[in-house]
Amino acid sequence: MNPGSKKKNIDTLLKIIMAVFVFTLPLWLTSPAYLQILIFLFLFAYLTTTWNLVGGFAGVLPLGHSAYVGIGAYTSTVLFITYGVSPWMGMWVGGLIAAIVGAIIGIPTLKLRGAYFALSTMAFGEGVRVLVENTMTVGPCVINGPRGISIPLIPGNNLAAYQFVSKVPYYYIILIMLIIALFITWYISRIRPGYYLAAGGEEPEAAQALGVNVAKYKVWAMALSCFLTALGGTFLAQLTLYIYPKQILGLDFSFELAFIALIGGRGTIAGPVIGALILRPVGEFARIYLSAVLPGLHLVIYGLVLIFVMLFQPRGLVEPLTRFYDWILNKISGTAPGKEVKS
Amino acid sequence: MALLDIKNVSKHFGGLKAVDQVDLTIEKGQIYGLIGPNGAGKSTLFNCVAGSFAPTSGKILYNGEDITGWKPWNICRNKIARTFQIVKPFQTKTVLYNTVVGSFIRTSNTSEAEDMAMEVLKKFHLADKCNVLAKNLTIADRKRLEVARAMATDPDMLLMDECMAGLRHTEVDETLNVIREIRDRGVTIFMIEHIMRAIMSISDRITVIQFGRKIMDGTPQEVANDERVIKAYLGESYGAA
Repeated sequence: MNPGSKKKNIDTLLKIIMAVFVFTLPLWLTSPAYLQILIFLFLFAYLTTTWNLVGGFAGVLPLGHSAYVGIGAYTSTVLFITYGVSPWMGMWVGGLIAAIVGAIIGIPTLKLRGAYFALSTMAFGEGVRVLVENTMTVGPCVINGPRGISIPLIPGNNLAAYQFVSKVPYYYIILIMLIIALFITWYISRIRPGYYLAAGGEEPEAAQALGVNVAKYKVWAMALSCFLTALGGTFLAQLTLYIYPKQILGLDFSFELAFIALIGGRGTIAGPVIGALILRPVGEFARIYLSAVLPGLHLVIYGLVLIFVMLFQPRGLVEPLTRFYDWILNKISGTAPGKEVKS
Repeated sequence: MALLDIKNVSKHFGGLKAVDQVDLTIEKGQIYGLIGPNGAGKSTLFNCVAGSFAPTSGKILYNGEDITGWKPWNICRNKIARTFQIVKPFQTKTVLYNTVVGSFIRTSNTSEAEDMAMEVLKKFHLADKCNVLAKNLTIADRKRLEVARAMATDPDMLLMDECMAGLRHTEVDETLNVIREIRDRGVTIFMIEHIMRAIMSISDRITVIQFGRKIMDGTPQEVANDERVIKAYLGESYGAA
């Protein structure tokens, strides 16, 4: 067997081992606290992956994605409480509303470049938060302003109501959502709209001259991103069973998504996952052990990590990690470095 | 019938008349040069044809169809491709990726688009560099990529904005050959160029503009001997001599 195909086999084997590991993790990791940390890790990886459709591929920096998390969470919750609609149904409604709102916000703002787009989306996110905090009811639906809504508890593990006592179902739901989101970004990056998005994000004028209606593709990407983000919002609501504006509509939520993407690698498929893998544990442990010292210290640590990554790996940690992974593959299979194997 | 007919086109930026009532007719199969001193309005006129700006007044007809004020992507789908004076490659992407963005106009299938792009890259001697990132190319290669990418959209007309500026002597000669090859494939060429040696040797006809107005048009011979053109380039005192 030649070293090239051996390397490819080892690559496949390692990926299968990783997949088996991730899927069997809850069987031996029984501590709900650790599972909760992992669930949040995957949730943030998922949300950053959907953010990446706009923030990475379309080359702009959205800083108001908390608004779409909120739209998803509030829509499914309000539909459940007021009309008894299962969150499994409600999440599609939330996604659709988020997509429409995202497109409406995107049509004027996606023409802006650089900081202007970031600022306008940030303003929109904050606007939504203030709006929700000052609204008690929307028609027949109660949203309780700043006090938020708690979702009525259904006893036991109830799949239809999207409520579980155990953490394990949540773990698998978000894992599958993450895999689907990763598959969607992977697929889009390989078809014409993905090429057009990346081209328009990098050099809009050149892309237009090559026949690309840049604005149209960006708005579609925004709508898709918002749709998927809202599905994550419903998940978050069902996980915590209590939603309030400060938790899911805060600026720091939006910033964290951007942090994770920037540190992991914007516009790459694995970047958001790598970013979440690094940043979430750092954040969680800082919150657990350092919040007694100084509340909010985890955000300072995020900032420091971001500064160092931007200084030394401006395109994110996905690059050195890919090289490291390749080096390991070469070591195991005995391939001489430099002989790239196309996978 | 003329392929491109620019009729009385003006483009004003506030009080500045960047292009002022210019008429210009290009026949199919021609290599048509557009020259003039810096700031004469050449690129503005190009941008009006390519759809980057809508003209303030006047009409642009292509194949008899009124394309005035069309958006750039529709102009491109209507088989007019362009290159930029300052090349704009997708820096973080490979040469192949850059070209595929162009060839995607002909198919939505990625592997077909890649085959078409490779075909074009072969003609432009960039095939062996197809996996190089655009930001790592030399200036000459970047300029070649700019043309290859535009040609990947399979145009009938190519607008080339100073594709030879900054090239070495031998590279200019190579580019001239490339342009002739493109023309021989049936593509009409409309080009802006500052290198007189190049544009005089390759153009079938040339239009000269100054301060946004057309001074004259004619064959390279006629243009080179015209007193108004010499004045425009070298100043009044040379014109008298």
